[in-house]
Amino acid sequence: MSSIPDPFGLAAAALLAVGFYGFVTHRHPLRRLLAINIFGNGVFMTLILVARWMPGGPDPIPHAMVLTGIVIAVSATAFGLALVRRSMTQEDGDRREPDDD
Amino acid sequence: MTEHLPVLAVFLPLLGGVLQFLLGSRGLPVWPLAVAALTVGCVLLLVGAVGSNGSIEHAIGGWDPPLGIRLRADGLAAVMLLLTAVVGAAVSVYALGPHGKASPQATHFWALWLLLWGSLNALFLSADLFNIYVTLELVTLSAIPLVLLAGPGKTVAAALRYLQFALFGSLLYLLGVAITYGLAGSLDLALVGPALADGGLAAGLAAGCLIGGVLVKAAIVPCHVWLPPAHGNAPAAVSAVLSALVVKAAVYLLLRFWTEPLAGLSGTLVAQLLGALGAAAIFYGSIQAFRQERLKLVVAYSTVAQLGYMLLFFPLAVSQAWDGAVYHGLAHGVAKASLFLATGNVIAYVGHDRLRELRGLDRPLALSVFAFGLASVSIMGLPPSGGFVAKWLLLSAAVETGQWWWAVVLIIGGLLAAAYIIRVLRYAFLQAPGPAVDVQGPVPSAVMAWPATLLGLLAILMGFTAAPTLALLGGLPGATS
Amino acid sequence: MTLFDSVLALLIAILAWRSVTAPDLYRGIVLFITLGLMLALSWARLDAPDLALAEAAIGAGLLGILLLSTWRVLQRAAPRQGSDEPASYAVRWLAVVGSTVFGGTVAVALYGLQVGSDRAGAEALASLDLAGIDQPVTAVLLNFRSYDTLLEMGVLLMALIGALLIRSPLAYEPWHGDTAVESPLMSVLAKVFTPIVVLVGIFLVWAGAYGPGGAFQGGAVLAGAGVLLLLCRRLYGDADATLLLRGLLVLGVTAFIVIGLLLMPWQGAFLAYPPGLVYVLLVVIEFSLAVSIALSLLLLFTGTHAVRAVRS
Repeated sequence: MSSIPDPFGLAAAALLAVGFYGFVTHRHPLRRLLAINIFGNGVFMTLILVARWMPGGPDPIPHAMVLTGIVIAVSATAFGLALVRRSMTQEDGDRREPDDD
Repeated sequence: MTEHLPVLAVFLPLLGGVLQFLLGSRGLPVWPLAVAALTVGCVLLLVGAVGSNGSIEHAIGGWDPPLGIRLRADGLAAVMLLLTAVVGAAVSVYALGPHGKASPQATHFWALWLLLWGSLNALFLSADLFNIYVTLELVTLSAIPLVLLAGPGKTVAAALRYLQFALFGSLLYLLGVAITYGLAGSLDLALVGPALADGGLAAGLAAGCLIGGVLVKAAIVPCHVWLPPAHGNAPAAVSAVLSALVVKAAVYLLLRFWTEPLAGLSGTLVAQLLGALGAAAIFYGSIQAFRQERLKLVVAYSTVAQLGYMLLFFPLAVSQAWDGAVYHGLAHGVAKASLFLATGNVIAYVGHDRLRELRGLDRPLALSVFAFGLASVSIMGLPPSGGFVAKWLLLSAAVETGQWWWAVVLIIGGLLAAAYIIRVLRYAFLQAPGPAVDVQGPVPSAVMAWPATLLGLLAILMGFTAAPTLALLGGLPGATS
Repeated sequence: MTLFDSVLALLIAILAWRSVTAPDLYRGIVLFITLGLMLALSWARLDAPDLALAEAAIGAGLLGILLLSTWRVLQRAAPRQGSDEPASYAVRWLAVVGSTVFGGTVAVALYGLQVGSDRAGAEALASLDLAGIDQPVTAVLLNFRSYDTLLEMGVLLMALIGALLIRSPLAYEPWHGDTAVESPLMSVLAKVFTPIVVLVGIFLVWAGAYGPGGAFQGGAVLAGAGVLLLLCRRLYGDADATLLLRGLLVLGVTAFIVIGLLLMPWQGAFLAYPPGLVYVLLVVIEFSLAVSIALSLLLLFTGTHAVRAVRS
């Protein structure tokens, strides 16, 4: 069976393209993290569409992959945000810190 | 019992790391060393079993593919596990120096290092595209905090850049996995091949995303920008692991994919393109290494260059090239770990690694300088080292397939490596001895000096151990031999 | 309903574009959160209620608050946002061309995808009665592909260790004596709303065996209850973690590994469960996972080693 025309396929492609564009053009680390997450949402949307195109009900395997992916993306982003906070708030504190433990 | 060994190789270090986090600084350094020893023992048993009986498989949860995930220890996985065990053992001993005493930092180091070890083993043993995505994230997210252990103030920018590239690379890879699943209805490496070989646009896109994502993770030019600051600023033990194993894991995936799921797609154009990227990495990395003013950055850019050699497999694609590319990965891993550990000793002693101010180190740091020299022989590809054997195999493959241009790349790459290494040796050791070193730390203890030296010796010895290693590797998959 | 779907898809594309190109970072974040909610809506439309729940709770909810809090910290530290200059004109046009080609290729490939009928997912649906759990996604996550879930818990733990190493906490100081901002609303939120959220979270974990829900969604909602208490100043981030707290953090991954390893000699495979015990074991594992997920997400939010209740 072949795929069903579905407006969300275009949305997935748009999320991927926009995420890629943001990753390439932005220097601000927080904006880059946003772009990466938008790209990731495009990937998840793709997986959900792939799951839907299975005869006999949504395919649970891509759904499980999306859940795993969301948790990984959020934990990595949270770590990234901690890095952003540290890197952007220490401009003046940089030199006062000779040795972090 | 043997069919359980792959599971133990992953979960001994992983559980050890989790428990280290739980226990805090209690049990340091006995607990992590015991876990490391058990892991090495388990990997040696596994490698021995693969050597005598061939591949070992373990269907997790008892669910066979395509429903479940399978661990598979074949020749390629076995040699990578062996490399990880050798470098891991050396690094674990070395780390007793800087991270041996109980402290919050030591707790984090050992927890993360054991978790990284388990993650690397998981990556090498995985035979499932999506599971490989998870293991790639595991490797990345244990590697980046390790970089931060050198002090967040210095490393936070490098870590942030590393994280951004790693995340983008793995999501690109995941897009490839998504489309592959749509096409093949399976994620097992052995089952997705036919669907990816159908030549359609979707198959091409999936292959491109899989390869592209892994290339970002492997720091192949032009996606290398995150590597030098990260590898050049991390603690010595961490730099050794990152350069010897972590980026190698990504290149390993390229070799794995090319010979299994993407085997039907081996179009000459893509292969030549990957080879060209490899050549670009060799030239660019070597020239940058030559221009650096800090010893550690020289070694880091050398990694950018050396990874390029492994990509020369793709255009050559004969069994000699396969042997050469994999052996190059092993030889470089051992030699580069030795270089970074030796560099760490220099920094521990001198307090900095500014090349122009390093002088007269041969007396106080005799062992580390010796290690640096031995490992350099392999990096330059001079006989009788492991690096020489690998480059010789690649060179023979270039001649055999009549692609002389790759032979030229190999020879120029060797000369460039000699140039940047000899520059370092000239500054550090051959200049007129003088008391140029201002602040002298204690001379690194035997625990820190010997691991570097033994790895350096091994880098040379690998010139003689090619035959059994390549027998374990077992030849180019799919080749009729 | 295709009209509704088309409008939703268009809205998603526009929100993504506006979020990335918004001149103001704050607006970019708000648009990103809105995008997350629209995605949740669209995934509910695409027969993926589990994922809609997860995206709303984790992707838009928790991540959204985290983004906004981080933005506030940056505002206080460097209000001018020095490094926010856009790329050069040439780079942007090149990127527009590149991403259009990329997106176009993806779209053409997706619409041309010849989906095979022989899929692992069909086998998963057919083997549900062997998995011990009726809900297909939960069965995949906890049984068929439990190895992925186990390793993912490792990712969560490592991200947390990384965030703790950086020591850039969001809400560190206890709020003692800071009564000026105490409003009656906070007390209502803390006393009435939080228990409801906690109950919803526990219910979602439990419901994972039968319908939409599971350890991840439930854990995220529980973490949300914690965030609520933080914002209402009933909890504060603390530097010292007790052994018990660290134990709860690693409970999920440890339970998973230890049960798997202990049963391996009998079952012949890692993470294989005896048929009679499978349901009980999976429920134990699921609740352990939920506890660890909730606590990890909460600590990723505060960026501290522990959280503690404010004693009044």
